[in-house]
Amino acid sequence: MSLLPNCREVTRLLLEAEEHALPWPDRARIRLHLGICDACSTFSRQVDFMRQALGHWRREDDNSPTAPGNHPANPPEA
Amino acid sequence: MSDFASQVQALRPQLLRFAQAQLRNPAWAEDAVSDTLLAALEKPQSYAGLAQLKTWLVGILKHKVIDQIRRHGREVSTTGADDEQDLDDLLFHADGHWRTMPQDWGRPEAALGQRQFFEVLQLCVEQLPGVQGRVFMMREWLELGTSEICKELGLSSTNVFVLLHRARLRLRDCLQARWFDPPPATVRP
Repeated sequence: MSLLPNCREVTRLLLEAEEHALPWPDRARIRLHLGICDACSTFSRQVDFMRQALGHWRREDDNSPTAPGNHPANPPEA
Repeated sequence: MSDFASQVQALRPQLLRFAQAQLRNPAWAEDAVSDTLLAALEKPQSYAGLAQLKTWLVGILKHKVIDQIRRHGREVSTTGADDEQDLDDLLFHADGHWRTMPQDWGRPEAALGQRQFFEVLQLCVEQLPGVQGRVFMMREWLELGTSEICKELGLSSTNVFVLLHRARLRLRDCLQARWFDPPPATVRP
């Protein structure tokens, strides 16, 4: 990969970072690119969003009702 | 039936849903859930509150699901893992630029406080196709390491990384289409 990867390559790196720590040259490539690319910065925030969401989902703190007929954690909807 | 036993039974459908999302096989999912309920009812567990009960049961379920994977993991075909159209081609031009600008999803707190969001998330995970879905669940729900996933399913680590990459892109697309695109549904009948 070149020192200046394109968006496709950067998104691949951003997703790979979800699986394992990236070597520092790849981290540098990401940082450089995100500094100049709004699209990939937005994508990076989407990846963070999904990670947070999956964390809550995995841990069951998702406000879901825990039994039929139980009151939901949120106020009942009108 | 005791109060505790009936509370446990009431959670059976949700346990089945998780087991099915991971195992993608009704018989194996049933076995995992039955084993879970048996284990739960054998323990003199003090019942502290519904939220804790569900978490506790899901914890047991994960172990039983892993048992099923170890028993059956390689029985499920993993061919077709590379058949899928490359999502990257749909997202990017040949020169590597985005076709469409990703949308700003705003603050996570806004969505994460809504039960409907997690319904949509669950649905999107369940709709991940075949081996992609199973690998994703093993990583994100069971929190297994790459080498364990490789071992149980007989896949290379490259395979696993490609599958997870596709799963995450597909999940992103699904959330975009089902949560962020439609007008916010604040009221349900």
